[in-house]
Amino acid sequence: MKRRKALVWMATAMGTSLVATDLLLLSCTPAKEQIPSLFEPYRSLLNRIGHAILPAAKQHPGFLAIGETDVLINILSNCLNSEVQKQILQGLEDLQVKTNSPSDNQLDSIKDEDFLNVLKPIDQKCYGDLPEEEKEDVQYFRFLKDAILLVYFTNEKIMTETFTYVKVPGKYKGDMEVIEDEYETRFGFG
Amino acid sequence: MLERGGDYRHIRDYDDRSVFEYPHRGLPTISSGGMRSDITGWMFNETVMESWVDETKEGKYTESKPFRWVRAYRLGGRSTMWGRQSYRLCEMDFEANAKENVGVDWPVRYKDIAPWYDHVERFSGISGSKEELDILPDGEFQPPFELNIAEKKAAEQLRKAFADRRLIIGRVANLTTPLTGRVNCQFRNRCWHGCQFGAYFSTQSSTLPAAAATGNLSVAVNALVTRILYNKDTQRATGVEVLDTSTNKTYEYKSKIVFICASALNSAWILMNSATDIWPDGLGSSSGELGHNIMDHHYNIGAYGEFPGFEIYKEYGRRPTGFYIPRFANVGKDQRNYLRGFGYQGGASRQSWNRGANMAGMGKSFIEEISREGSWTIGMGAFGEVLPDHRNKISLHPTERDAWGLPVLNMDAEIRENELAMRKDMLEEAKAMLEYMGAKNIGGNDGGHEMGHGIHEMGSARMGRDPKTSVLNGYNQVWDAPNVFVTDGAFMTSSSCVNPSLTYMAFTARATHYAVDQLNKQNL
Repeated sequence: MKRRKALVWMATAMGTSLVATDLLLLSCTPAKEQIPSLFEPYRSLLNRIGHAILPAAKQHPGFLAIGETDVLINILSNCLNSEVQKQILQGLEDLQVKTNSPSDNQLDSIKDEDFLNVLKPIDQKCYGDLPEEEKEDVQYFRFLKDAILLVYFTNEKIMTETFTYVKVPGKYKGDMEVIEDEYETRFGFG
Repeated sequence: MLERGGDYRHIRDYDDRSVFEYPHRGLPTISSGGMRSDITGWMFNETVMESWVDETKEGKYTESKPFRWVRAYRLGGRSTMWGRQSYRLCEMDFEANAKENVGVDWPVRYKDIAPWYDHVERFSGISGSKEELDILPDGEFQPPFELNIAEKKAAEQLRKAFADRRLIIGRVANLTTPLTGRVNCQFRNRCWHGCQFGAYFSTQSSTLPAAAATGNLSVAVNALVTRILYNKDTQRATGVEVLDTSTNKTYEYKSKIVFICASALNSAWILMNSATDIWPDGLGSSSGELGHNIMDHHYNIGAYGEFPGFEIYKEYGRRPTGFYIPRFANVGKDQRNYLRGFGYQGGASRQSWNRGANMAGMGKSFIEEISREGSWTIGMGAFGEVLPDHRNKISLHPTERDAWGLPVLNMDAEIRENELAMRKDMLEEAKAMLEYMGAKNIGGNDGGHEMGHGIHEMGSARMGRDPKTSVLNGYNQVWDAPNVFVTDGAFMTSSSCVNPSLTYMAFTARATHYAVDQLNKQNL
């Protein structure tokens, strides 16, 4: 967390913004060549997690609708160090156990509400007040959430249609008033 | 002009993709360039990774002490990826070595270089505010970029708490007013990829077009200068030997004068690899200082916090700079238990959607919440002066070779007692100032510093007043071969704490003017 904040202020100081989040730090010792299929067996489970975190809402089509699971799998397979990959794989296996769905294609029968009931305690523990060492078994969820947010919010449709993406702003204003209820407009990466 | 890297043309070769067009959305991968795995940070991501040297192809250097050497081998070098922060050294910087008996005295003073700062500021287009500070001399600036509303408040609070401290907009080589062939900044936040508008200073946007317009410029790429050719009878260089990395053939280029500007460490490498029976340790080695006194700016330390009170405001556009807090330590009556000082670079902005990865929540309320502007936060990181020290050195490795069969550099440099003492203040002062500014939930961290990480490597062929203790004279000439000039960071006699590129430019302009004058007088 501290390292991420340090990166953010350094990036801000240099007049740039981070495209990625904590994951940028995890790529420092990437795993040796990984085949993309490492996370392929969990495609449906990843979709369900993405859908649980980012469902369709007011102006949002939601994670499932953008159809970017391939990108998520590529990121998990190619951009993370092997230690984090192991944590995530272990976490996904634990989720299979908790949802009584030992294989990916058995997930379809699980209702959204039941799936959420499995994820919510994990989410609460992950970001709760427990000492870090007592949260190691759920750290994978933070990485997954990070990757899912990245994939979703940098999707072309989301950037250009849900949000206002201005590739060439042409001007800067440091005191523009926020319009009530509007989505953010700065969109840090050009 | 001889460039060891490949061609890289203004506009034609710039990457204009948006983040959604990258397969990993900006995250670096194992196959994205072969960059050293321990060099990470905001400037090393999928979108710019190919700009940096691929060490799996070029070969690696060796390290007696940990060193991060960030290189860019292509036309223009790092000039398209630099941070663009542009500050003048001040009188105190040029006098400090002599007054404190550190290293050697600079052979120039501020008044000698001030007109050349004027010259390069006008040419390159430096934007900034005039502040009338002795520690940070004003220059020939374009109109400044704007502090945002939160930063204006921070500046006001800082001024109230500390009469001697200022928070100003960063002085930066991004245009606020068009120059010939260049458009003012469009606030895209794409500087790292090259700017089609030519809105920031780079070799591609600025100096190459100007040089080409003279009709006297020839550029050779893939031309790795392996050594300087030297005539011991005339005590002059006669040209350089070049390895064409595309054909592996060797050529000789003859020249009346040679300017080396290969970045501080590679310029020293060229000199060291130019050994003769007269100079067995390389051209310019007679003083025993070639390759020594390696400096950088030590950083990776700072503080941050939430900055409430501006919730009805947001920013529009992506500004190419943040704020700057000039050095105050050991200035005037301020006394510390170490020498020299540090400055801060920082910024205030609203959090974005990516804050969601660090907070609990899922579902519709979560996606709606993180889609809106987050809290204002403010943060700053320090850049500290590194003292010149003979023990901090680079050398040619006796056995290790690069991809071309040439000796690699061995790095043997570290920050020492003075810098470590300074770092305590760099952290604590940042936290204290944020508190005075009104920030909440303040945190700070010292991520440690390995030399090179600041990407401000300097000092490998320092200038001085005496050929017995320096490699270059006050006009950047190699004492041992006066028709050889070294004008990158290698010449720096001390490092100051400000970003150094503007100083390299000013000394380069001065040296070229001097060289032409001396050539015309047939003194070279």
